[in-house]
Amino acid sequence: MTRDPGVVVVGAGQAAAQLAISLRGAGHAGPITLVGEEPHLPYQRPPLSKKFLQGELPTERLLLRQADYYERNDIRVLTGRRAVRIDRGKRLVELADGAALPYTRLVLATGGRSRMLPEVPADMAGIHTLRSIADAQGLRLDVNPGSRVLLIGGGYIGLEVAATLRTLGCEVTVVEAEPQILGRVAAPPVAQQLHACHVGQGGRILCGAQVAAVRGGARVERVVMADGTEHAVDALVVGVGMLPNDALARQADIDCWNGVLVNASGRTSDPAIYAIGDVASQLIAGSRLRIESVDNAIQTAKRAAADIAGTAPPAEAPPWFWSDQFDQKLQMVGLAPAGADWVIRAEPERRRLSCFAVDGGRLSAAQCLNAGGDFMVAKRLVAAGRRVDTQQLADATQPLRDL
Amino acid sequence: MKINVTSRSGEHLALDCEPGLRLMDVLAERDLVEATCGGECSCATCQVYVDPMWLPRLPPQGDLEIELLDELLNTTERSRLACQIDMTPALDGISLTVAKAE
Repeated sequence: MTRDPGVVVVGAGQAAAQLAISLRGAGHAGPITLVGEEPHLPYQRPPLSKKFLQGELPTERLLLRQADYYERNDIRVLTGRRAVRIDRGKRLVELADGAALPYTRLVLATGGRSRMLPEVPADMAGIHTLRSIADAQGLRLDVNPGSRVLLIGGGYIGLEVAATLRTLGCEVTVVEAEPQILGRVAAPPVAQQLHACHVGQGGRILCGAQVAAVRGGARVERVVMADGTEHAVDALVVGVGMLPNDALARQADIDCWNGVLVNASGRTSDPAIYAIGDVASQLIAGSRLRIESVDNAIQTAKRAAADIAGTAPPAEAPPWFWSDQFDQKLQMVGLAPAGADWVIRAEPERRRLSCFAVDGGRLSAAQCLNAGGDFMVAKRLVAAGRRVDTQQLADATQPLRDL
Repeated sequence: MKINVTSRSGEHLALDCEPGLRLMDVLAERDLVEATCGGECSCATCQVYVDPMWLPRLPPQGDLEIELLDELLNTTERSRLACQIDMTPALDGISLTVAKAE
């Protein structure tokens, strides 16, 4: 009898951990091996820009499961190991140290890496991105109260880092090339309220601001903008999105285009190979899309695990997201179409603001700022595809649950 | 410390717990709750029904926890979010049931 080589997962982040957890939960008994480049067991990334960066959370509290969990469930986690090649013919994954892991099913959970800008030098001290524990530790050690920090990119990561560094007493400036922060990902009123909050806390946000050059010696010193203005800085954070780590798949001739192309179960163009999490490019409403979120990591992992274990796929659920900046709590559900016509429900005296995207009479997305109850109801309404009355949605005096 | 848990499938478990952890951490470690947001009071996937005699010993609910629980469909007077409960020695022996996922 030949032994089942089992499931090998390249990557050891949230999606990888969930895949292993769900496989064991489904009663899958074969070997499971996770291969991760970082020295850590799978951990949560969201706190890296918030509580962890602030120093409020020790590293071990980031772990999704403790070491004992993997032992109890017979899940092998190889940390500090890098996969360099997939041999699809022999069904082997080769590691940088020469090891070769055979697989019956291979799962690519390789995530992404921070995108850099051509204007930003690669080898200058004081320049940071934020994706890993090491990134967050490096940034934390590099700033002090009073440090002048410039953040390129007014997206969620940039703004969360800006809020945390401001809380730590840094002088922060966010520069965003678009006319407003969170331009493609937040309803304009939500973006405006967050913008006002950052300014109210003493942060600076410059929109429509293009970086032309970054100057310094061994260490970064100045950022030159396209309009000629200059900012003297002690540190620079680049938060302009991520690129999918799909090189392994591309080298193995697996279909890729801005990520690894997958079907609804997470299978790639090779039926023995799956892709999950940030790196997976899914077909959603006719478009190829990568979704970068914890919820997506979990959902894609659960679908792939069900397919591998031969159990029923989990129920479809709309994607959801969250962001915490200062004392503002944003919860979002659904994918809003570009240029959506938002229905606004606001209670400014309570700082509550919910924006709803209605598509063909049905709620397709909601963004709720300091309105967790609205979010909970909206999540159900989006999932059910329920028809909604826009006037009722906008009326903050009527509980949303009564709709 | 011990935590007496009835899982979603009705299984009774006595879990070991170290003080200082959140109740959610202990339950997630045993795959008893999803805890998607990792304890940020954002997802409400860690709802538990606490045995009535233990309810008064718990830390009070914050506004956010109350608001999320208010909008879940299976909330009862015994409902709490496990991410909002820090395990202190006073809670040794607490008894609870994990709520079904919505």
